[in-house]
Amino acid sequence: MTLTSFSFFAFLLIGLLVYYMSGKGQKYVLLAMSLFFYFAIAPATLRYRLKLCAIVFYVVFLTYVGGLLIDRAKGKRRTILTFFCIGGLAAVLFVTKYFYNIFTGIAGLFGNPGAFEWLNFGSVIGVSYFILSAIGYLTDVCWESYPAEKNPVNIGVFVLYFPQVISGPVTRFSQMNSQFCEKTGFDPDRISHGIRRMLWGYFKKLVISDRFFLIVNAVYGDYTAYSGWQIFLATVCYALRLYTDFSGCMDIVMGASELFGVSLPENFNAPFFSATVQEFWQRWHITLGGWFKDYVMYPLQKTKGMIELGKKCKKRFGKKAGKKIPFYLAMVVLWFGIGLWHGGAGYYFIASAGIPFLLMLLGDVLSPLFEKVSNALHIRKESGIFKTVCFLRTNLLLCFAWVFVCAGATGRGFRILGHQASHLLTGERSVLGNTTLQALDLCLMFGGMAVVLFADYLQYKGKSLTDLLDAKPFALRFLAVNAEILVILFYGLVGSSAFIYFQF
Amino acid sequence: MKKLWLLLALFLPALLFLMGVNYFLDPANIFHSDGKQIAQALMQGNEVYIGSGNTDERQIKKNMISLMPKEVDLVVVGPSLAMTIDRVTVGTENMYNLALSGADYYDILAQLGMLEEQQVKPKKILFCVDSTFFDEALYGQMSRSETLKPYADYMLQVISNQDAKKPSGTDWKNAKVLVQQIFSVTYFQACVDYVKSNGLSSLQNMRWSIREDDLSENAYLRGDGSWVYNRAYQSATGETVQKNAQEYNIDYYFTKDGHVSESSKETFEQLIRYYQGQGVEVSLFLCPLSPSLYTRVENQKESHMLLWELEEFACRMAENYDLELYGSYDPKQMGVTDADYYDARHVRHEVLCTFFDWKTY
Repeated sequence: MTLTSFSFFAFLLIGLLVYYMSGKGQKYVLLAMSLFFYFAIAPATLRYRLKLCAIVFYVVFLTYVGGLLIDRAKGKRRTILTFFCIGGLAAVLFVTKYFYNIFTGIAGLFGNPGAFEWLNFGSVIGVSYFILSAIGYLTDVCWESYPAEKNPVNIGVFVLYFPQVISGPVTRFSQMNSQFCEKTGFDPDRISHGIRRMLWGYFKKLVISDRFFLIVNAVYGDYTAYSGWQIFLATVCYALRLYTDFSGCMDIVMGASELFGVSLPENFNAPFFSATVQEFWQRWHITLGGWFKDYVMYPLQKTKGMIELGKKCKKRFGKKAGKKIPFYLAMVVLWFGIGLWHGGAGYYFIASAGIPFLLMLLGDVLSPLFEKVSNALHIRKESGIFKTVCFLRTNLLLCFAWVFVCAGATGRGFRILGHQASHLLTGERSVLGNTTLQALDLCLMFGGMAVVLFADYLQYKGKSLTDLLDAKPFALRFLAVNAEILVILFYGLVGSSAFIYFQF
Repeated sequence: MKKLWLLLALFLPALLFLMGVNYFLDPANIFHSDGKQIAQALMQGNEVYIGSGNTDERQIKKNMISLMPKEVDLVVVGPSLAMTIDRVTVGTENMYNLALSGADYYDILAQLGMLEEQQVKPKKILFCVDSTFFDEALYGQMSRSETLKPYADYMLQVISNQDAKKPSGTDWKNAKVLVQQIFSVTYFQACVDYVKSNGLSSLQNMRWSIREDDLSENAYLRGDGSWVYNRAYQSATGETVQKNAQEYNIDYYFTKDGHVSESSKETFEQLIRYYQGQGVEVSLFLCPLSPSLYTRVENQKESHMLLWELEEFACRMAENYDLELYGSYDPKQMGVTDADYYDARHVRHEVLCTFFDWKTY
């Protein structure tokens, strides 16, 4: 089962019927659906499914029992328990995602790369998302943000809730539990919004994203045949592809959840309309950044050690540096965590953490200088032109990071950057020459992207395309929705590729 | 309630549109089983144009069997190599050609099972011997015969003297596939592509129609079930056959390093013994490869022994059971050239006729 398969729609339809007929037992239906969905999307070997079963049981059990134990414990015992429970959850993440690669690499150095084959758990779908949610819950219980949940079903639904389990968003127990526990009545408006949100996601993924992928694949597959400028264009295409793929996936997930009356937190807020790299990360994969800030960065800044460090730096380097140095150190940890979360592969680490961190650091350190320059040049920061320049600058800087993701390896990433610099305008092929894209495809890609950016611009301005359409007469809504459906039906590249963020 | 109606009004038309296009255009004939009507038209002596390339030949031939007279002079079974053999070729009106594109081990057994089940008794069976029956690695990959497999199992029980249980007459396609395809966006796009490449006019009589004049360029079935290729296919020259021979996937059709399956050989011998016991005459036909293709396979003989093993087996069977054997895989023995073919494998109808010396029964 995938989010674009027939079985997913059949699953949703049957699930919805049972859900709305089951009255107070709705959360049990959600748990049953979540378990079914989780095992249905996994590759079909029994051994693999048994392994997943064991991992899922372990995570739910540890989160439930751990929460209860932490809640009852006091003082130091509470901290130690929290530490062990979180360690137990984090261990799943490390064992399933990193240990095999690390140990195989080390064993390879000694000529025995197969020595740690038993550590190869294969990919555990969604582990990076639900482990973070579970750790967040235990941390909140430890901080007494809310009492531990006594019903294991509620924990099970929270950890495994099917729309979010494979690619997020990373949720908080306080946001979700009340929604799972309340009885949801059948609301046609909500269902309509859910379906429309899903359609919007399918439009982004099937009509736009997969077409941009063809360009990226062609150019990065044989980069030496292209000029630096063409590679840059392909990188921009990757940025558009990544955004429409990931945000499209989120739209499908949120729309599906909406059908069951459960609202998930937004993961995107018009990221391409960000004036700075920092703002970009506040608008892109919001729940992940928010999680790392709330559970890693801020607590770290509040630790005794950091406060002491701040005081020492203040004495030695002055007030400003006293503030900044602990902040930068906490940022290092935050970005290290984000880089590690993205899989720990060198090139992904550089793209998702290394370069964004450096850009933010430079932005922060150099901001007084930028301020002086803009004052000297009498630049009006509120002007549309200045904002547009800032948007472009931010996105261009991030394209630099995405070169490494497109390259697929650190060394290759550097080689591509070198090639871009040395062959800025000289290439052997045209960007579209090695693809099957026709004029119609280009219209769909760029026309579709214009619609997406328009919707994002409305979101940036605090409005929404859905609300705008809802205010219009039914006939207009009908035309807009059905035009979207027809474009997907006629031009959707169905079954061509999986969602990028499923790999995490 | 009004909200519910609005919800339905918003999304239902598109859903119905998707379902309607998939159902009515249906280029793969998933929802339309015209086999019975086509078979009826054929058995009434009509010639039938097949509009869609995906018409289920197996269903047509199955329905033909159910409409056949109980006693027939000759039945032809085998792959497409034998599909053009017609009543004129064999000199009897009471003949039916059951050959199918890519007919494999199970297809042929299923047809023989259906004949048995319908108590149709042929005087003679012409068996076109090909790798699709005898190469397990090849027919193991084919799935076209799946729906008819119960009849193949039935025939296997019959020839091995087991207590054979007739297959149930229920003819239903997998419900899951039907539901999946009616809502399938991929199938919708295939329907649109079909209309795009064949034009809107293709929707008229797109599946099949009775051939009333000689104006159409399309392929058609004769009343005896034999096949006439479309005009474009018939216009192939020696050069096009040579080109086709170069592109022919010999590693697939004569499995590289493959051998004749022992179980297929055993089944075949059981079939011969069974029919001889029933007083049915069995004849074998080895359809020659085009000279270009034969040379290509011969050059790689070591890794494609299957072809030679099969010919040797057919000759042995003919000798052991006193069967008539027509043809040879070797075109030199048959005195044919590349120009005598439609493609690398299919001999022109007029040339094929010369291989047989049959007269009226």
